[in-house]
Amino acid sequence: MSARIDMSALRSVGVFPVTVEAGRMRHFAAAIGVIPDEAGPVPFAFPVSWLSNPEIRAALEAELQRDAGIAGDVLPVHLDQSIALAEPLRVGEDYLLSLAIEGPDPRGIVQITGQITGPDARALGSLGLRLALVALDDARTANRTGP
Amino acid sequence: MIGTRLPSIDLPLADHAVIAAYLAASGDDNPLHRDPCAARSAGFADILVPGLLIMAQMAEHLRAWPRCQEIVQLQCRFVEPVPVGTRLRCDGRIVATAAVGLTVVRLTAAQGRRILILGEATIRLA
Repeated sequence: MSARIDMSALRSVGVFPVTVEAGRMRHFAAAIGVIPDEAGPVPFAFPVSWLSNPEIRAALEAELQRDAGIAGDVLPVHLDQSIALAEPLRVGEDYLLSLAIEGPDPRGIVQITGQITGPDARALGSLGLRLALVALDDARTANRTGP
Repeated sequence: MIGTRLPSIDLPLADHAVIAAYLAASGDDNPLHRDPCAARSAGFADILVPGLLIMAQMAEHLRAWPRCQEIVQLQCRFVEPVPVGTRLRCDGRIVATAAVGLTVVRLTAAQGRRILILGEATIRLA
């Protein structure tokens, strides 16, 4: 893994249309042990799954590879996650997710932030997460020598 | 109000089938969560439970608490890797008041006395 040192500035990744698709929400709810109910509230953590949308993931990966020089056998280790919602999301509703990325810092930590806006451009919430990009060799060593 | 506890519960067990269902639903394809060989090559005995899966379970436990009208914010720190099949207990208690009408709840997901995920939620009380 290689990383430039001057990676502290927040860089826009893009603005992506996202939606609470009913089928995906049902599967998500069932997987976390909630009885799926399209009339009920969307699982609070559901918006994080948008980060795995193919176009969003591709943009994040491209940003890391192009601007941060990340390549090779690197494991993204999720350090923390935040979700804030001013109001519950609705099934079938379309939203916009504006993503920005910061890092990696010299420790290989990347911060991703997202702003969720509604169809009327109202700010509805935000996402934030930190990933540690760990070279596979480092992970092997850490887990052999860890507590 | 500060010190009020949520009911303590066992979170739904995240076994291989549950993790597979979560990965399919969320789109997460981190090899540490789906590929035992990749997990072993990183030094783990088997795949790891996605931290977000547990965070999502914790959020729904909080939301089901009759005193919680609405979750406004939730942040979780993934303190330690969680091996597949780990039985986790979720506890929570009110630790502070925030802005008008908002309350802060500390949440934990622990294996015995070992906290694996530490969360803090801002909620509106019913």
